[in-house]
Amino acid sequence: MTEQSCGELLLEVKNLSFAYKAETPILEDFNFSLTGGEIAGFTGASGCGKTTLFYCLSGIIPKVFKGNYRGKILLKGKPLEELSLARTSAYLGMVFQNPDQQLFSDNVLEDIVFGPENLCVPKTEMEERLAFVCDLLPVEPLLYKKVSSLSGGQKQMAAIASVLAMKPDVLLFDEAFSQLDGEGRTAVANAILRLRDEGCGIMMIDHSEENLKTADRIFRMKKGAFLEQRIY
Amino acid sequence: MSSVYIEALDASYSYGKKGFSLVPGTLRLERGKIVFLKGKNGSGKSTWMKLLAGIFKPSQGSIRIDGCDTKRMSLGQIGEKLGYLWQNPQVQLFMETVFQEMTFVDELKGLSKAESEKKAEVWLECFGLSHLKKASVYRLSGGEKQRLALAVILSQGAEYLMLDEPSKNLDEKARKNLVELLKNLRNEKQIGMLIVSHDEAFEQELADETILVEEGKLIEKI
Repeated sequence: MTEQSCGELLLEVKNLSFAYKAETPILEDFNFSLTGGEIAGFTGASGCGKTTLFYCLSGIIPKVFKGNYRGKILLKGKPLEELSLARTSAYLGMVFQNPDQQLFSDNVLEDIVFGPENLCVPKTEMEERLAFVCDLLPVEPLLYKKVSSLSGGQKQMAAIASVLAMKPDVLLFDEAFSQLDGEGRTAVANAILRLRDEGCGIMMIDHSEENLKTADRIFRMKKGAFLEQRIY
Repeated sequence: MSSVYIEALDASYSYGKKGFSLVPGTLRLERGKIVFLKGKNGSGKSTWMKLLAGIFKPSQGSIRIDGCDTKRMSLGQIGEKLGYLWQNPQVQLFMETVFQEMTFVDELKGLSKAESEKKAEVWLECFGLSHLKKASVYRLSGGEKQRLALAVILSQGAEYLMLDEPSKNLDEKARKNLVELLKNLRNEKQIGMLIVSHDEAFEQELADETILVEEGKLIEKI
């Protein structure tokens, strides 16, 4: 996370359309912007395109998943198509629906420091980031546990911690609360609020509007388009 | 026919000398009752479920399913008696298309192609997946995969169901549909269920009993 102020335009989506197969559009002419210090919530029926939208914002579509892609995404003013996935991850972090997709180290500590190490973050700063993450989330008891031994909820917490250690400007949470117990949900919800106050732009997908109650705006998606928008 | 379908007698399981262990416990799960397991992340809920389902063999004590000791049962024999929904539905979906996933088990069991396809159509309709029957399983959203896994399990007519976070990733409509389905299975067919879930509203709608799990120990019925 570079120094940014609330109100900075972090993400711009212009006329985004995507279909995995030509005859079945998932996103159609989607326009959206996200500023620092804002939380945007996305809800809607299964299969309406929420996760597909996040894949587009993170560059996974079209760099990994191919399809019919049109439109433009600017991440901190830079065209997303000009950034590698590695470079994108320095600015934007995504917590996947299934934490098994993003945990691959032997233990939790190694998973948390993996990203910063690969971006050649200096050792002292890595230690600060680890302390930052442990302050935000209850992961300290998990640090030396094998990832394979974790419960589903513990994996979800570890995945969130490893994304936050990258200190991105934009955070995407895809059903991040789904396997967390009450304490875990409270901890993550408080962490999200704190990151928002520090200038992060945050987007959250959830089926439960209860989990989106901190959002400044909620978008209900239907077939890749906005159906309604509520502003709090 | 006894009302007790699954019985744990002073049973426990350990992930190894340095790993997490369940505290030995005794529990009886009855037909026609929905029991929820509650507890913090890492408390041992899913481990208890796998032990009671016979996926793990007990390191101490015994587990009986319909009177049979799970140490003497193969996973195939267990699979004929109970249906299991994994926390991550992807681990139990492996065919190329949705329709193939629905017909796979029935074809293995010897149902004719016509019968298995007719049955698949009914269950896909029930779970709102008919329009996806030719879709690749890998292209499904998280919620669609969850519904497909549930459809496959429930279509097999198991006498007992073990469901690990079944309402996770489901939208409101799918959730309501699942609640009604599970209630019908309990009320009309006396199917018993053990459910792990953090969804309190889901628990309030379905639970006949709730058991708290704390650090591997079955604490109490609440």
